[in-house]
Amino acid sequence: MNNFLLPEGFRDTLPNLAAKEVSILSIFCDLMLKTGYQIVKPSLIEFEKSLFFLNIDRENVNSFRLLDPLSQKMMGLRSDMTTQIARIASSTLKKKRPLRLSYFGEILKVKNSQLKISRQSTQLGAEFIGINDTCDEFEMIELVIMFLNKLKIDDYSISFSMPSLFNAVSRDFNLDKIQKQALKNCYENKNLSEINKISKQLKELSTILINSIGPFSKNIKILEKSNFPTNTKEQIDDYITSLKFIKSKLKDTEINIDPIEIDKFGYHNGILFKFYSKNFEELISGGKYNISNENCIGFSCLLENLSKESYIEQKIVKKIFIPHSEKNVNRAELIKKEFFIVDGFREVLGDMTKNQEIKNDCDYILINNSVMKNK
Amino acid sequence: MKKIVLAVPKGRISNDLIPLLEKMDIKIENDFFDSTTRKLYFKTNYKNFEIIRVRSFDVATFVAFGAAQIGVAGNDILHEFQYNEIYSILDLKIGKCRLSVAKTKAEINQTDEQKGHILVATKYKETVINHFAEQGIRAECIKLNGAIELAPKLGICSTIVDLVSTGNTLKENNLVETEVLLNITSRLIVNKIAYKIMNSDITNWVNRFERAINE
Repeated sequence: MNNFLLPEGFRDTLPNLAAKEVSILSIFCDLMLKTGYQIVKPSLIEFEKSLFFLNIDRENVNSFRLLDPLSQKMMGLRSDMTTQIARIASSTLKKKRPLRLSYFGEILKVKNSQLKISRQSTQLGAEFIGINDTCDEFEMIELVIMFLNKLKIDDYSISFSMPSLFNAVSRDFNLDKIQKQALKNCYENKNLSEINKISKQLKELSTILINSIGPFSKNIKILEKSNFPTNTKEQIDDYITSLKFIKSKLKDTEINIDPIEIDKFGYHNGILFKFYSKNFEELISGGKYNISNENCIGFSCLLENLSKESYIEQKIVKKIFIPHSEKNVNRAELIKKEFFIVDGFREVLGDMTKNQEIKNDCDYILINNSVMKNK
Repeated sequence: MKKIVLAVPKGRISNDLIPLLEKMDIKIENDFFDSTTRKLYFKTNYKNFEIIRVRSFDVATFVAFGAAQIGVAGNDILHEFQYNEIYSILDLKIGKCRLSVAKTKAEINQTDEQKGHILVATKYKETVINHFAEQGIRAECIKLNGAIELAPKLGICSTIVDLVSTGNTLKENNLVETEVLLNITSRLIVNKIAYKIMNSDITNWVNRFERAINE
């Protein structure tokens, strides 16, 4: 076996793709700073207790663990940065409200999904802690849209769901643990065949909710016209209010609704949004949640997904090719003249092909320390 | 109307599925019925509805990736892969069979002390490991893709987990069905993102499938 083979799910990012990813990060940081979202860089490793403080089941987390030889305590390598931001906001920066933070960094997972074997990703996102109303919610969505526009990703749709609705429905029908799990399975699969066994009324209500999935403009009326029991109604009213406000601001954006989407993270308590590309790729997701009685909203995404869908290109207009044979090159002078240096490889007799492609891509060439136009 | 691709499995389920598609007035191009064809992509009488034919284990993968927006897969496969990217939206009530544990007679007579660890020949590694783990038994799987009943006969192991329809193959190979893991039917599965962004098109086809089943 090759000694340099990386473990499954890990990779090196090589030139061109690495440059594109750095460009995306640079666009992200620039936008965040300009919009008031201060950048924080949380630690890569934390003690288990603090890293997983938001997880109800601390065993069931997908993080690499290691033992700290100094304190003899277990530590975890982050697999998600959002909980770290929540920790910072509720501890070190707890006196600053409202708080707008952004972040980016590497995350590692013990196991990814069946489809995505990569165990290493770069996560980026922003959190707005201490929000008040739908205007604040919209600020986050607007921020995502600005970001996607800057990445030249404009063919997307947004899907809004209301994860807290599931608990509201369960409360309205006094469901026990087993019934609740059955309802969850039905909502997760959009398949109501098993609900009849629980209650006919529950099936009727769930049918209305499932029928409302689809384009906002057409299907919001289904929710508006229907009658719901107390807890469900409260959630539906909040959902409709948020959606109507968002739609009034995003008249030309394709908006879909799915009120019964189940939240895989389990901590969202208001609207949840997901931006999808037309290639069936999830670009960005986010939503409203509550920490220590504070309402917050945030978004998060993986750099690899954005990189796949983004059409940004580096605008390099003055590329200069420097043959390997060129001696005493004044690189500082070339940089001062805003040239973008492309170095040639050492040419081996009989194989002159390796430089040809990169040379053809350059506007200028350095010959005997003189800048010449590359023909 | 956006184009919808339906992924269907090769083999037995495909035969059960054709009458259902006919009820839905879907006419597939003739090559689909030609057993010698190497084609995998088929047109239908609906301009925006095409069919791909793949191995039954691959249907869920194609749908999860969004290469096909809808597909037909047994719940054995859904259980094995547990894809988060798929909705199992409708029971098509075809392809009925069961996923069962079968053992040699000698294995059935084993004492409890010998059962903490078990060697199983199967296609369904994850399902088997999880099933036996719930009983406190560590299952080690030998992954076979066909002729699983041969494994005990040739001394590879004494237990298998495989699909059982009539049970005749088990009997012919001196195996006894001891436990049913799953009752299986084929499901209509849908890619989650496609369901959200192409909802009206997909719901239209789901409703047509539902009507055809209930006819």
